[in-house]
Parts: sequence; C-alpha cells; structure tokens
Amino acid sequence: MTFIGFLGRSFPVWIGVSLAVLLGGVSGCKNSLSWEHDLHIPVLDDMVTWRDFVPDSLYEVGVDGGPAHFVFSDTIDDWDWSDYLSLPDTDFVSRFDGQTEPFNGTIVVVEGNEVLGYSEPFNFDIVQLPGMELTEATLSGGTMTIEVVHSLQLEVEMMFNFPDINSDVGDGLAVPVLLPPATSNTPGVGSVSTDLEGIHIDFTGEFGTETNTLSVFVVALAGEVSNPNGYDTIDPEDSIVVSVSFDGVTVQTLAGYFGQRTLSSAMDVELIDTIPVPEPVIDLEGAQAELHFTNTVGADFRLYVDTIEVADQLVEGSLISGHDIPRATWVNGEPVPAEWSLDLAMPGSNFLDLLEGLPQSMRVAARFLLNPEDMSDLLIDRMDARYPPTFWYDVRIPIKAGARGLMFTDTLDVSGLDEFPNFDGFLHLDLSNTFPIEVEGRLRFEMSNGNLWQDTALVAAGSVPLGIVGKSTVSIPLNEDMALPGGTLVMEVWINTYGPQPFTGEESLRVQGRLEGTQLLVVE
Amino acid sequence: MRHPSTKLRPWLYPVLAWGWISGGLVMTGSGGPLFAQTLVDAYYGQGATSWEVWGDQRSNAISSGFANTMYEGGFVGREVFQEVLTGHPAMGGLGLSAGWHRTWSNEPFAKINAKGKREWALAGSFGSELLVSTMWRRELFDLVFLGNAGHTGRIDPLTGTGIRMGVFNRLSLGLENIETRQRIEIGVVQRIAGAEFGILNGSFWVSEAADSMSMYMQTYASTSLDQFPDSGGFQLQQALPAYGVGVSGSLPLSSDMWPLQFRVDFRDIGVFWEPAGGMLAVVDTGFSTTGLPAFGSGWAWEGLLEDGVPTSVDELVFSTDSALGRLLMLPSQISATLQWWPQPEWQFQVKLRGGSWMPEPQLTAGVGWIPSARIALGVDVRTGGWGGVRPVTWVKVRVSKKRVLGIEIEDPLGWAWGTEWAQNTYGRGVRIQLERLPGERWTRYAGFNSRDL
Repeated sequence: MTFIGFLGRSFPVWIGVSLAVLLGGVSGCKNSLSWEHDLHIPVLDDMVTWRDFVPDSLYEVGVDGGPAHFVFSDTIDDWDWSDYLSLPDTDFVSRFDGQTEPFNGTIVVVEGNEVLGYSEPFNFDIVQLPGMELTEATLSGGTMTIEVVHSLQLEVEMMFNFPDINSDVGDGLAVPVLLPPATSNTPGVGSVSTDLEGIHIDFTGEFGTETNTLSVFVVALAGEVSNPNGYDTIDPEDSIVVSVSFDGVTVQTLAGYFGQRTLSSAMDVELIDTIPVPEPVIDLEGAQAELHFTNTVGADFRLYVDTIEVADQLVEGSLISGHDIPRATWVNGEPVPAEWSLDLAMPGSNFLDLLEGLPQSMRVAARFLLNPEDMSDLLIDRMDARYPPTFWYDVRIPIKAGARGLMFTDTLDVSGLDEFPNFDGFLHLDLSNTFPIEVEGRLRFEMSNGNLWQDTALVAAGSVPLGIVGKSTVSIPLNEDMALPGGTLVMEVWINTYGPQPFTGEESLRVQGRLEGTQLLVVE
Repeated sequence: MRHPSTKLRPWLYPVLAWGWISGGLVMTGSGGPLFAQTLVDAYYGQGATSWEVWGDQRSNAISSGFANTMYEGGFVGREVFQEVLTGHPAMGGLGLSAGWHRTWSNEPFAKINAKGKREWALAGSFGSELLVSTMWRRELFDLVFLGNAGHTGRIDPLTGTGIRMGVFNRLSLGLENIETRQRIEIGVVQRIAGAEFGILNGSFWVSEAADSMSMYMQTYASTSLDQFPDSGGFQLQQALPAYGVGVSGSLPLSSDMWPLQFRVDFRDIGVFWEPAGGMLAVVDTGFSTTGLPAFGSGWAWEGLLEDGVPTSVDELVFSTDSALGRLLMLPSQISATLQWWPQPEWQFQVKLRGGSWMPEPQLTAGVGWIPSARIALGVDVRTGGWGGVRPVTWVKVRVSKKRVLGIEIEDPLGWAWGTEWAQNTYGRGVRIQLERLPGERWTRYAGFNSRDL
C-alpha cells in the first residue's frame, strides 16, 4: 500500500478521532453546569452641579472661597436705528432744451464743441428724519445711476464731476457717459451706474456751508459727427434730459445734526427659572443692580425710565426721572464711549427687597430723547454704525440662601418583569455632597405582592471652602423578589440649609452606583 | 536471502484502533530501548520498523476530579474552585496530543565499505498528529469562576491567555547507518487545519471601592478557513492546508567501554508557510469608567436603554477573510535520552524532551527490569511538559522473534476517570508501539540483547 493510499484510507478515521477528541473536550457537560460568581463593578457615576440647573451665563463662581453670584447682565436693545443708517432713494432730473436755455436759430456744432455745461446742487430730503442735517457720511452700500436721453444727431461725450465724493482712489469722482447719436425716430440714450460702497460724501455743498447738499459739475462735448458735411446742428427743439438716482444707500458713519427724536426701549428679562424652594431665605447683602448706557453716539441723550417691574411689582424710588447721558467723543475717527449708570439699589429704592422673593422676571421700559438741547447750529453729532450704543442692565446677587422642607417628591410606577437575571445583590448608591445643604432622601417601594421596602439616606451638608464632603450610601436590593413583582416607587427629597448659607458655585452632588452581588452562571 | 517485509498482522489492527480511540491525550513516552547493545556481524536484513500510536492529555491546573465535576455538571460550589485556585500556578495550561507515527528502514544499500560491509539504508517515516495547546492566567480563572469581589484593587493580567490547535500530517525520507543507527530524514509536513486565539496584552481592574474600572484587551483569533462553516456545516473545501519542510532524525551515541547510550531524537525541525486567505480577527481596545451617567444619549444609561449600545462590534473588531500568508514554526520536538545498564537485568534512564507546543521541557527518569529475554518493564517519574510530577509505567513484550510490543501508561490512575482514584491526577496518556527488530548485522535490537531469543 502506498503512503497516499494509506492516508486516503486512514484519513476518515483520523478526522473522526480528531473531532471526537476535540468535541469531547469542548462539547460541555453531561448536565447543565452552574456556579456563583461574585461581582463588584461600578455602573453609575453622575453629578449634579450648578450648571445642571443654572446656565453658565447666569452665575459666576466665587473667588477665593467667596460666594458665587447670580449674574443677570444683558442688553436692552429694543430700538431701531435703521432710519439713521440709510438714505431715502432719491432721483434728481434736469432737462435742457431751447425753452430752458433759449436761443435762436440753429447752432452749428463740430467735433469737440461744448454742447452743454452746468453745475447743480443735489439737495437730499431725508424725510424719515426731520431736522436731520448731514454734513458728512461714509456709505456702506448703494448705487448711483446716471442716465441721459437726448435728441442730438451726434455722438455726445458727457462728464459728471462730483468734487465732494471721495474714495480710496482719490478726492473727487468723475463719471463719463458716452451718448450715441439720436436718429429722427429714436433718442440717444446712455447710462452709467456707480457702486457707492466705501465712498465718503461731503454734504456741505460748493461753499462748505450747506447741509444735505451734493454738488455736481457737468460738461458735454460733441463727439464724432456722422453727417457727411462734417458738422451738425442743434435746434431749439432738441433736448437733453439728465437723471441722477441714488438707490439703496446705506450709511456707516454720519456727521451733522441728528435732530430731536424720542426712542423707546423696553424688555422683559427672564431671571432664573427657579425650582420651587421650600421656605426660601436669601441674604442680599452685597447685591448690586444697575442700569447702564454705553453711549457710542456723538449726540446727547436724556433717559426717562418709565417702568421697572420685578415680578410684576413696580420698583419704587426716585429712578423715574430725566437722566442726562453725555455724548461720545470722537478721537481719530473712532468714538470714545461715554458711560452712564443708574444704581437701582439706591437709597429709597425697593429693588433689592423685591429680589428677595427670588423673582423669575423683570421688566424695564424707558425712553431716550436724542439731542434734548437743540444744538443744530453746531453740527457736531457723530455716529458710526459699527459702534451702536448699548443700554444694558447688570444685576449681581451673591448666592447666600437657605431653604428647609420638602424639596421634591415623585411617584414612579415600576412594571413587573417576567424574568430577571440570576443576580442577587445590591445596587449601592454612594452620595457625596458638597452643597451646604443637608439632604434626606426617603425611598419607599410598595410592591404589587404587598411587600414593602423602604430606606432613608441622610446626606450631611458639605462645604467647598472647608473641604467638607457629606457622604451617605443607599443600598437597594437587586434580586428577583424586588424586580419581578413591580410596584410603586415613592421618592422624597427633604432639604435643610439651617439658614442662609453661602454657595461658591463649585458645589456638587455626586452619585456613584456600584453593583455588588452574586451572579449565578449557567452553562447548558 | 531476503527476509520477509514488515507487514502488520491482522490482529494488530484492533490494537492500533484501541490506541487511537482510547488514546485521549498527549505525547511522547519513554519506554524506548532499554538494554545494553550487542553488535552482530552477520546477515544484512531489513532495518527496524515501528508503529506507534499515542494519546495524551495533561494539565498543570485542572485535576481529573475537577474536570469530572465540571463534566458531570450541576451546581458547583465555590469551595471547589477555591481548591483548584489554591494549587493553580501563575499560568495554567492544558495540552492535548493524539497521533500515530511509523518509521521504517530498508535493507542496506549495496554499497560496500572498506571492510566489506554495507553501511546505509533507505529510511523514512510518516504519521499524523493533533495538537491542542491552551494557556490561561490564574487571574482569569479567578475572574471567571469566583468573580472579582474577592480581589478588588488588584490588576488582573490576562496576557498570555490563548489556545491554538492544529492537525498535521508528515512524510519524510532519509538514510540510516546500519552500524551507528544514526538517521537523518527530510520531510514534508502538511497542516490540514489550524486555529489559534491569543490575548497579546490584556488586563482587568476594579478599584478597591468598586468605584472605577478599566479593561484593556489586545487580542486576535485566526483560523485556516476561508469562511466560517455556514448552515450547511463544515466543508473540507473551506480548509486552507499549509505546507512546510522539516528535518527529522536520530543520533544515538553508544560507548564501547561502558553500558551507556546517549541518544538525541528530533522531529520536524523546520517551518511551514500558512497561505493567504485565512480568517483573522483582531481587537485592540480598552475602556476605563467610573460608571455611566444616568441621563443623556450615547454611553449613558438612558441612551443605552433607549437606543442600545452606541458602538457597533465592527468598530471594535478588525476582521478579514483574506489574511496575509505567514511563515510559522513547525511543532518541532527534540529529546535527549541517557540510558545506563549497570547489570543486564537493570536499566536506568533519564530523558529530556521539549517542543510540540509544550510550555516547558518534559523530564523523565526511571528504572527498568528485564527479567527475561521476552519481557521488560519499568517505572518512571515524569514532570514538566503540560503538567507536574506523575508516574509512568511501561512494559515491552517480545511477541515474536522479530517483534516487540511496547505499552506505556502515563499517570495510570488518571485512567480511572470518575473514580476517587483519579481525583488528584492531572491527566492521562497511553503510547503503544510495535517494533520490528532490524535484520542481522544491524545493531541495537530495541534494547534486547540479541535478535535471538
């Protein structure tokens, strides 16, 4: 018998024996096998901190163990400055013909002759801002469109010069417009649009004493003559109509006089959505409450505080009166703001008294009178759209509070289970508390089969400045007896701070859960 | 004159079959040549031939009593595992070997040396073997059967845990010197199928207060299958055989002045190439936690209960069904045997054997008694390999003038599976060998003094 032949004959036996040996080792047991296995593993780690119920922006952590502060600081910008930041769309139209510029007979024109020459002031009527007198403006957008229609049967080269429009390119703006010759049936038409973004306009006119005025100088020269005679003629019936339009002009900076206007501002301020606290007490010593106005406008304001309400109760005191707010000064083209503030907790005000009730809202309504004193002759008002004025409030309350009583109660229906893993042990909840609050948690599980399990965890008060951590452990049995029947779980949380306590903002309540018990493992 | 060639008698087939089926487990054996050598200057006959089957199972941690308890099933008390753990070494192991092996030598070549003798004969061997090697950390045993409650705060290393198995066929050819009986062969080894799993690096730790836990696992699993057996079951075509080349041989050194013999045997010293296309899965991941938060999505209890585990298995396991080919060592083995016959009736021997995926060398020492020309028997003590100290008994019976039947039983009480006697044994093994003595003018007749009875 050859080797190959031998292998061929013995292979099935060999494979069979090999598999038998393997399966004999791993196929398992005659009967199901079980054993107990003791487990200690962490399963839960959660922490309650200030940021879980107070947004970051609403509190400041205490410094050097000092108390944290509730900080309510926001702008009250319910006013509209758009009227100041745009110019109305304006069209300036001029017609030149034999009636506006009378002449007799026919004027012979050859190439290069001046056909038309004039200067004209454009007076902007800023209808939305009565009393507004512009001397300067830097534009952030807009278009100037020049359109000319004529009846001359020759080509016309027009040049529009705006000496008071400056840009990065240089002083003055020249806009050429080339007009094709008209025919006996159709006029010659030419138009040019210019982007006004970034340009600076001097509105003081040709002599520097006007306001809202833009000067333009126009010259029109005869171009190539199409007549074979080499000349053309202008008759009294001929005309030239010039239209200059300003559309969508927006402003970045303004100068001049802004007129007298009243601006209204009002805002409902959401303070903290507080958890209902039993028997709350709060110590407001050191609390600050101020209204601020950061005036970045080069114009005076007078503020009238119409209403300050805290939790729908009017704040009493001498807050409601005219408060003069000085104008910003202008240095090197940039505003230096003028700061103004009003202490809401000034003597005679009950503002802080109202805060003791842990209010959830505050309302402020005010009016601003722009240029309370008429100083139109000085033309010294300034505004830069990049620096809007800000009306804002700043309330800072040191967190030194207390409470006592039932903080929270809830009832949870727990469904019964058909089966439960072969586990018998406990879920230990380790509580670590640095809040200066003594917390008592009461758990009661009323099982459907009539059994009752209850436990109480008393977590001592902690202290961040003193490095004290209050600890406690709740051990919840975890086994079939507890899990299968289902029932009702009643939870109560009682708190007691023993009077107002300072909070640093770094307090936390940590809950760590560890599973400890015996798992029955079964191998079938 | 030509002597009859070696053929198995029909009655030996049941014997071999018994060796296969009852073999169980592990390897090698002593019970080799026992007796002083006699040089015979006579007729050239056919060389020695032997058939060998064996099965051996051995562990250094799992006693037969414990294994039987697990096999019988039912609830196993904690004290059972604690007792095992008491004697458990740092690294537990379990090995299994079963196979058969045949060697033969032809009548010497016609080449004549200066003394007019023929010197070399064509020799060869072939056989098959199943090898299974399992290793595990003591800490892993502790974790699985007792849990971690008793040793929180301790880092449990899992590194080194693993299992590998393979089924090998081999065929080799070579030469044997009729005087020195030195033999050298070169052969082809085929691994029909193989699989392995190992934890290259791993650990598990829970803090003493059970408030934090970390685990790291760098592990792999591979198999020489190009796909997992589907619902249709395993198909032979799914296996990817691997082939290699190994050198085998025997180097006996005998003293002309003293009744001593030193013998070195080696088998399958070489490598084999595992072809590309096998299946491979690798995990290299870890996690550390102090517990999951109660609320939130992802890895929070709320998220897990509502949305399930946010990480899919595919993100943790790299797997492919087209692994690259690689060069691996053959399951080589080598042994060195020193034998001494202070008197013709007595033999002492020491044997050191290594390889065959054994975690440590295996040392055997013992004594043999040769009461007659027909029988020899002995007792050895063996340690190492897959287990600790255990007894070995052997007997050799000269069933005919030319044939010797040898039976070696390793850890005899281990065969009393399920009885009190076997409770404290850690394995069992059997090796059955049928040798045909070489022809005249060969030397070393399987330890017996002479070919003649």
